[in-house]
Amino acid sequence: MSSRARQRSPLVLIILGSIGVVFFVMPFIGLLGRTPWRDLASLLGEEIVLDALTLSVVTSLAATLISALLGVPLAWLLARVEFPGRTLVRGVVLTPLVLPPVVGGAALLFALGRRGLLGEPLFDATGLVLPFSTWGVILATTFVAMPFLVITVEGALRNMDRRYEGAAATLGAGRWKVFWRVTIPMISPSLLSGLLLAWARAFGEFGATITFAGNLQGRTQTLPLAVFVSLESDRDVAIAISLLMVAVSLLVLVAMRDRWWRPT
Amino acid sequence: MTGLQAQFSLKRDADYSLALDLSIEPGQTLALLGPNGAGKTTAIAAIAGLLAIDTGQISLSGEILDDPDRDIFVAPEMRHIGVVFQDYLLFPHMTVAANVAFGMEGNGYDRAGARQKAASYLSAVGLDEMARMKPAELSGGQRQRVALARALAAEPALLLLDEPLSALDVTTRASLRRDLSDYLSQFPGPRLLVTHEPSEAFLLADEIVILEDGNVTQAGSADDIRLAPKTDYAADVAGSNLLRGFARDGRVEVGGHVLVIPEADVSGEVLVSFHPSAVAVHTSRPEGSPRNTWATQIERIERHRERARLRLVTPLPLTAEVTTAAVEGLGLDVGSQVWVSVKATELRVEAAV
Repeated sequence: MSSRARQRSPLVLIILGSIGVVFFVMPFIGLLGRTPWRDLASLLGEEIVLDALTLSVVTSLAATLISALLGVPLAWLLARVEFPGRTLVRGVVLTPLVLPPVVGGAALLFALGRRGLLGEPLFDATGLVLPFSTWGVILATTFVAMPFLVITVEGALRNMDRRYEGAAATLGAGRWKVFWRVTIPMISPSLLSGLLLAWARAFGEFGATITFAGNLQGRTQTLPLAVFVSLESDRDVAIAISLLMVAVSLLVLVAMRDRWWRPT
Repeated sequence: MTGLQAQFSLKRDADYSLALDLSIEPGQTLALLGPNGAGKTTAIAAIAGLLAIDTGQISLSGEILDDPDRDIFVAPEMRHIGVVFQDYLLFPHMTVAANVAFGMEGNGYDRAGARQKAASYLSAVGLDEMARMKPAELSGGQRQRVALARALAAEPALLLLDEPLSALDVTTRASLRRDLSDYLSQFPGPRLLVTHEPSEAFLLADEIVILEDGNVTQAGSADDIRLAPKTDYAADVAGSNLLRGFARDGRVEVGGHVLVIPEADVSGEVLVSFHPSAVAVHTSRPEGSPRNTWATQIERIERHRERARLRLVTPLPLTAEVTTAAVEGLGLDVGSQVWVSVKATELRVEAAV
């Protein structure tokens, strides 16, 4: 198509599309307009920010790691093993994608809270209390983040040309070697996208975390929770943290632009 | 028992099942020839262990690999069967050298040793300079060689080749067919070549098994099939006369005999092919005779429905197809002296190099 032909898009689409762009850009402009640029460095250096930043980095990375450890095998089961109720299992695993996070947090509380179904015997046996602890944050964020990894990796495993695995087997490779040397490398672009998506989701997690883990500075107060608190107490801090999170999110999305959401 | 014995059936779905019966001795090349969709790739998958058979048995060098009655199934990675896949299936994320080394690791070599040995396999197929490249950077012919080197490097007991030349363009195919024949002859174990190209089967194989619709319709030497094709498919595609000769100035010299060909610009080693029905048979020297005319003798006659195939010997070994009515009408019999002629335009000539 020539560039002249392309210019003749329907006017209605151009107008509506532009309104869409404004809709997304507007909040960021609002944020940038209110940013106290001169004090930004000192605001970001405040203890509540640094505590939350450290906690967010640690918990989001931990959630990503756990998601990879459990999510890749889970995606494998869903993609490769036929078992009764597979569709149901997939539905349950992917529910956190559409569930309000606060409901997820509440459900975790009923299951793993100190008086919860599993939480009580766990506490009796080990003295471990998950809610309102850093482990609780990791658990809650993993719960909402892992489905992104599972759905991405499962799709990749289904789309992969399995004859490569067969070829590897004829070359004497056992299942484990095939998995590590052929399957994983061949799905690695999707795996990487899944990991990034899961991490981004964990990094921005709010509802499940505050419900299950509470809002304790230095222990369970991640960056989004710190924004929430600061909006009441110190608006400038809230804006500084928000700006930090926008910057990180943009960075991640740009980094994976070629891998995941490039239009083809 | 030595070599490969495969006698099995397998059902993939309601419409499709495969029944195969073949055995290959070490050092022998067997071609599984058939039209697309006949089940050739399925046969390869079953022998390699990528599919389980339903009945029958597959054994290699006396070891049973698959026998549902005895509940034996050896996993593909334990079979020591090298496969060259139709589209090669080179691992796209590995270098050429890593592809070739893949099958050697844990096969008595460590990673470094495997890489070193891989380099020697690569130079054997003339690709040492490509070792660090990714498969996507190679041409089709180079990929084919890497696939062969990768299969051979794992030191298999049996070599399976699934349409090894079909993904290549015509010129590359001719040169690689020659190389392939060399590599095959150096491989000591049984060789199974799957193809839908009769010329490949004739040139590369000692024995041919014809597979149609999942069933073996004929097995035997190229001569057997040419002379006595049992099905229309066999008569059609496996019936071609194939001669190797040397071309110059519109002529091809084949074993001391000279044929006139339509193309004047072909020179060097060539393959001349033509259908048996292109050979006209006369009881006396034809008048106004076409240039490719010579006297010969009938060695054998095979009848198939209303057609008959005549085996002709000196000066050129070839097969002629006539109607059975013509055999009766001309009074042809074994030992008859006849004149044969072939129009130059019926000859297909391609470079053999």
